[in-house]
Amino acid sequence: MPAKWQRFRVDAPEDFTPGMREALGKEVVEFIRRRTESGKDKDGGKFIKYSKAYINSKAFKIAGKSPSKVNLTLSGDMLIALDVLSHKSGSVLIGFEKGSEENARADGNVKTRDFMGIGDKDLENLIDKVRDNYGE
Amino acid sequence: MANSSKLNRTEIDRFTTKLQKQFGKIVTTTSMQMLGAEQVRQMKIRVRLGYGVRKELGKREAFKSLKHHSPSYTRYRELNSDQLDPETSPKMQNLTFTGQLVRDIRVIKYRKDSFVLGHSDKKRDGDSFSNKKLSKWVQEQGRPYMYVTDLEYKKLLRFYQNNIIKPTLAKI
Repeated sequence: MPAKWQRFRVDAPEDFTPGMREALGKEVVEFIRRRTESGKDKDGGKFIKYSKAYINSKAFKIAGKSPSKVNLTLSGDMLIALDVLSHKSGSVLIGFEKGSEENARADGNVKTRDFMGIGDKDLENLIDKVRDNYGE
Repeated sequence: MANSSKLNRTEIDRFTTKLQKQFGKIVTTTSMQMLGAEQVRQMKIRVRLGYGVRKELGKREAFKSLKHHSPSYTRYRELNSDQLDPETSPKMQNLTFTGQLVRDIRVIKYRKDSFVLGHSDKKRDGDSFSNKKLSKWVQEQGRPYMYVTDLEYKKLLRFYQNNIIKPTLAKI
């Protein structure tokens, strides 16, 4: 079964210029990367533990991962591939390149460890940050 | 008003000077060394996971079987598993037997705003040739790896932002 295209849309204020929407998208992407690296899912809860088979795999050892630190990072390629896909007045689309290897990895992950999304409060904070940076 | 304006001008000049001084410090030998070390780390993980890359900023690709990586070579690796590096297995295709080649990936030259990755010219333990020569050979055989992938470059930019730019700006 082909991987589902992993993407989501966040609301941006209507008065945001294209530059501000791009900046907001970048902030959301970086926020998700940091949150995921800290071991939290999109709702702020802890990711479920890795399977024993994965912990005992060569790949796990090669990447120098710790069994207790669940952060969806092996080479780091998946999280760095998360990006702003597009934006239009009032919204920003965030996700992975359709059909890419990283999209497939993300698709595999979200089923048990959903990292794709951002809460309203966190989004509001990032919107305020973008406004501050743009001097508004 | 004139005094205040003058004061502001002076303040701005001071700030600008400080900013230029700090930005000048951002691209230093130390920061290039940090970036070089990070890229070496990334490349070693990629190769050990079994991925190469065919061109600068290209996409990573799983190493394909070489002619010599036949069932008999796998058998040879099984029979000599006591010599295998812990980060490989008889069936894995990750340019690793003893592990000398991958361990030897290094920065061979630093320039003011760039670095060059490569291998040592020294002879390998127990062999009459160097890792540099072996690297050339495996790449000619269809397993190129000595480039930075598109996503490694993005990771490097993020590393630069988080570990070099931000700490420097915080000092201003």
